[in-house]
Amino acid sequence: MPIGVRFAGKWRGGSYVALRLVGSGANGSVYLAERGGERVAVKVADNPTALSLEYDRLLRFAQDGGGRAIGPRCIELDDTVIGGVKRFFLAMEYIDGMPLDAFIRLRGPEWIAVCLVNMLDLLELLHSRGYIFGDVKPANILVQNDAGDVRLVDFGGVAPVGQSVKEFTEAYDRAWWAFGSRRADVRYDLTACALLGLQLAAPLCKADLERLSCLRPVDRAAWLRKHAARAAATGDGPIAEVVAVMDGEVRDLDEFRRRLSRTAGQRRQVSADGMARLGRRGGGREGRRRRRRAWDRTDWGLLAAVAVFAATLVTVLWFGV
Amino acid sequence: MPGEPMLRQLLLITDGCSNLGTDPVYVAQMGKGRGIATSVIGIVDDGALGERGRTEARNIADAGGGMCRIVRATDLAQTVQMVTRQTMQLTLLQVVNAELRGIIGGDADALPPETRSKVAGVVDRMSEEVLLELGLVIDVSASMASKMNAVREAIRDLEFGLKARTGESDMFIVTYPGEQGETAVLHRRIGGAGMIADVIGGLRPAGNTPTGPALELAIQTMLDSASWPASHQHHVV
Repeated sequence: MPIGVRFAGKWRGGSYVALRLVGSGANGSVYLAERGGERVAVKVADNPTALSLEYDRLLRFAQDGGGRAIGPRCIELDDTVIGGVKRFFLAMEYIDGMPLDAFIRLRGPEWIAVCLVNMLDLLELLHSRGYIFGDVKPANILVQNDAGDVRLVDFGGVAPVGQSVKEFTEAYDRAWWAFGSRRADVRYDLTACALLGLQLAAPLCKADLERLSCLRPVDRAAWLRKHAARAAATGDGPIAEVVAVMDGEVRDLDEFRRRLSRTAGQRRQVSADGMARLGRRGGGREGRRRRRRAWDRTDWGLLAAVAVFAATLVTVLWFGV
Repeated sequence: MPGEPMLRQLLLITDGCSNLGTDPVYVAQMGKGRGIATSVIGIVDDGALGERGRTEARNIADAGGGMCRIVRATDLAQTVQMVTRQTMQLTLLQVVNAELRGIIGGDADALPPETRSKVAGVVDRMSEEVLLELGLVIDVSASMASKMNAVREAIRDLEFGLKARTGESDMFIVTYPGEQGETAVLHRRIGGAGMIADVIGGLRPAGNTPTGPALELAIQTMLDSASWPASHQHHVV
């Protein structure tokens, strides 16, 4: 769909102007659009079945009974003709937020536990009505503000408990990592959240995932445990809590949330103490440690460059003069 | 009295163009006539597929009433799931549309959005519950050697997906060419244990690409009623 194009729904008559492409996936593209002076998100697809299903899920589950927003408010489902081609579209509230992984990169790993706790609250509302979210991944979780409040987007994967999970992302899929089946139950979402937490703290690169896709699921699980152990040794983030979920030690969302809240609380305590010491002595160890970056290849390169420069300088001075 | 409805579909996974035996497009057309939809996934990794391969893949899917996707080997698992699911929806939607045309004189796309969304809900529920017989037709010619692990895991992943469905399903694999010079070999899971994906691990890719004969074997296997548990009385949708 070209940017700037104006289109109107055939059945409801809603008039839209496409402003910007927000993202695209297997089931269509999402645009930021304007509708009667209001900014809205419009998902455009060629396949009406998937879009119609998502509309149904959004209508039923985007808000809980108490008026709490889990996802974007549903506006309408309609179709239109753009450039001679029939297009089906779903209009919903535009959520001005940042994908969870971008937020964590910006704000630091101590926010993982905070955001996961907020997310578990939303999932619990969905679970209490007999449905699971299914396609847990960073792009489907938008952080709305500095407090780490989140909203879920893309309700295409929402599935009733007992049926199969039809939309998922391998890196966060329980079955792919041999931690259980792909049948929708509350623990499917729980495991996905744990996998998400781990990968926010210690991201897997594309090459890792490509290599893992050729391994048996049990071998993937073994690799992931090693990855988690490495992350626990060097990184920050709720690794111990995630491993407890993978080990089957944490059995429900509530238990996971309790453990995460405890960690989030401690972390805040530690950094508050650190800040206090920083104020008293003009820079405590605690305060400085948190800011230190891992020593990487660039640093080695710089060190080598400095060494070579120094050696050259010494040689020139020694023999040249 | 008709029994439970049942879907039959074939999924062809290849990285090249057929070069031996019957024309696969013709075979897929025959299969469609017998109620078997054929979809195709073409793998592009080393460019072995080429323009001819792409065209053939598209033509097979068109003739077989299925869908066609061209992907890299690493995207195979996701694509196999997606194509299987959407082909089911496509077939079911065709059935629903045929009924709708009789009632309202148009298909689901002509319905107002609210009603269409209800139809989509019905199609989705049916695709979850319907009996599914799935035949995977897998090219194991020499050029596939580097992709066999990815194929094996994509099939295993599909088995996880099918197992999670409420409805029953049965799956067999036809690989081509065979190791002893046969054009194609049928693999079935024996007993309840193990996963059919693991048969792929034991294969040695070699030889040319008899896609047509392999599809013929798969269709013949499906038409052979013994391939489905006798406890199920079924008619083909």
